[in-house]
Amino acid sequence: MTPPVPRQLAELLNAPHAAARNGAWDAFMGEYSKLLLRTAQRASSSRDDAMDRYIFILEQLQEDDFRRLRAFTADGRGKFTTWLVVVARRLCVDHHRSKYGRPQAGHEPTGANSVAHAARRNLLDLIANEIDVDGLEDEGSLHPDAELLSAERRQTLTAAVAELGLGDQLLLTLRFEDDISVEKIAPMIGLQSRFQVHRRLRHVLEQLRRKLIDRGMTES
Amino acid sequence: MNDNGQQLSDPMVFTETGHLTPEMIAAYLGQEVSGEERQAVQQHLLTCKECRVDLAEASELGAVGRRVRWLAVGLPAAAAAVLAVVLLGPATRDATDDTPVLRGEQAEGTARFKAVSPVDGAEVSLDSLVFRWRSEGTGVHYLLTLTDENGDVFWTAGTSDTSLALPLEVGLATGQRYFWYVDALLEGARSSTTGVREILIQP
Ligand SMILES: [Zn+2]
Repeated sequence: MTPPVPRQLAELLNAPHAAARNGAWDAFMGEYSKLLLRTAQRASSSRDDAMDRYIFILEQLQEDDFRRLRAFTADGRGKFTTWLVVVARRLCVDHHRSKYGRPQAGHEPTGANSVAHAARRNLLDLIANEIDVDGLEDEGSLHPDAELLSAERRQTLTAAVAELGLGDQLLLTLRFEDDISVEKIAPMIGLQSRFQVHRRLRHVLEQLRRKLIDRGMTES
Repeated sequence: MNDNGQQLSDPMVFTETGHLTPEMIAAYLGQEVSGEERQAVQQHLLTCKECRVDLAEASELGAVGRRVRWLAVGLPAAAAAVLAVVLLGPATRDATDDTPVLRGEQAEGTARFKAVSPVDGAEVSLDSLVFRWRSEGTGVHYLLTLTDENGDVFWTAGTSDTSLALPLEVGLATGQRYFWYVDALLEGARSSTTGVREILIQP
């Protein structure tokens, strides 16, 4: 189902002359300025930064006869507001780069591998903690530092996680690596409510637990 | 080129810099993607924190009014008003905050307190069903919410006590799962919550 283009956007993109365009831009801003400002605020560490970015977003959206906004109608899937947030967020990243000559922390492609690697390690530790890996092991085989996963257990857990469906791997990543609440995760993985996420999560962790038991981390 | 070679170069899915297009993120959130696209999106999200943050922000900021609709169904006006204060309070405050994104539960501005029983996932008998939680102090008002599996509010009740028995007229179905949580209304329009617990009604 293709959602209709919002009225304010259609009027803006179809405005026949400058005066109409100005009026349509005001109407567009009346509808979306709060959303754009909030997006800028959440991508910024200070109020001054947020205002700079907000202004930058508005300039960029107006550029080349609203070239960026016209891209929405080119596809037409999804909600305009969700699309607009992503476009605005990426403009914030561009703004940061143009101002400081480098991407914002958390947006850098360089060194991302080591960051991703560390996050992955952390993810495995968190999952292991959730499914009580220590409780699964013989006392005699416990790692001297019970807080950390042994290399062998890490490998077993990595393999077990990799066997899960993409959606379930994403669920674990969003919940444990990104620490996003179940309520916010629901729409991100196509579930209706936080209750369904809650249930899915328990199911996935139970699945992992069973896999680990099957692979020799026996309970007795 | 790997198996994803074709998808990686698909301009509908990926930008020139190799990230998900805003169109694809919006379509994915609107569940208007094909099976292949969904797979490509999820595969990318697994390894790209930047796009996960974009997705989280688009999902949260771009979904206007969803919570309000969810609350509006089948609630007495007074309870709905209290619930709206509890649930919308943190979100409204958040709007003026410079809160960094992705701090999870804490980012919602809602503190936690402990639910005592039934324990999460417990199988419970209808005739002895009592919900209990830790006190959050004197003069605190609590609001218990019971929902069905879809998150639709089934029953809600307020109390200043730290327990509530389920009245018999609330007809829970045996063999069904329900979810419950308690919100505490604290001083200064603050609130805290137990978070969601699941129960299964014994057949
Ligand atoms: Zn990406």
